[in-house]
Amino acid sequence: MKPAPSFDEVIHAPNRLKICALLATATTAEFGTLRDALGVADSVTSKQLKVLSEVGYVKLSKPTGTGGRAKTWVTLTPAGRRAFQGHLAMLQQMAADVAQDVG
Amino acid sequence: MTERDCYLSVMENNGESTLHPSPEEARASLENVRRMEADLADRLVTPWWYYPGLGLVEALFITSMTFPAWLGLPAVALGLAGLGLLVRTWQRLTGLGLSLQYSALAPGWIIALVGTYLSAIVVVLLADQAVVTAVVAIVVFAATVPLGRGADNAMRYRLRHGTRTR
Repeated sequence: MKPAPSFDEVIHAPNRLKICALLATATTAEFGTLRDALGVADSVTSKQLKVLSEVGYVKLSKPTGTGGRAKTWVTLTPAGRRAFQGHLAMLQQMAADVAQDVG
Repeated sequence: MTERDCYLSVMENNGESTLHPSPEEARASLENVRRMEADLADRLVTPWWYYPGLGLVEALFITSMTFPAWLGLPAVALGLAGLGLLVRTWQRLTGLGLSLQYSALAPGWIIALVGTYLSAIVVVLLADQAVVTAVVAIVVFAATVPLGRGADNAMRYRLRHGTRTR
């Protein structure tokens, strides 16, 4: 079922939108993978993830017992997926308005 | 003044967007989403040994159906351990989770993969012969490699050409 368009201020910030875009398909990604995909520093990635985590859009976990240094994994929550899909639908609606205007 | 005229530009203050974007900014955001999907496609590189390994595990599961219980259970346990090792190694190498969302990007290939495996189980159960089981296990192993790689290629293609932004 297609989600209803809904603008989400938390997700709309460019780096957070990119994080959600990657996680919408991958569902889970390692912190370093997200940082590299964004092309920003650890601190910037961490800050954006903290914002998403505080509203319950992502969950951070650090599995232990695998040996070596534990890595942080980030998972998109069902609430985060719904919010991203709604936000994306809103963006598509707005972009379609532009296309109609041009046509 | 129309509603669209009332759109205000996004003001990013400490990374916080506070107002609705203009239509042009919406298009730029969609482009960002498209780029991230293309980036994900580049990262979804399955190691060469993954599908042969998966094929071996599937073949082991199929042959274990004809084993006596004392041998069948350890075989299944070995297969599950192998499957866990394959998935964990894949996740460690790619830095990504193994998500069910991927299957939606290549539904035909995934149906073929799962269908081959389920059909093999049915054939083995109906035939109940060691020779048939051995042949079916070889067929499943041989089919898993090209079908898995085909699914990977289809997923990457979909991600590079936009799954959500068109």
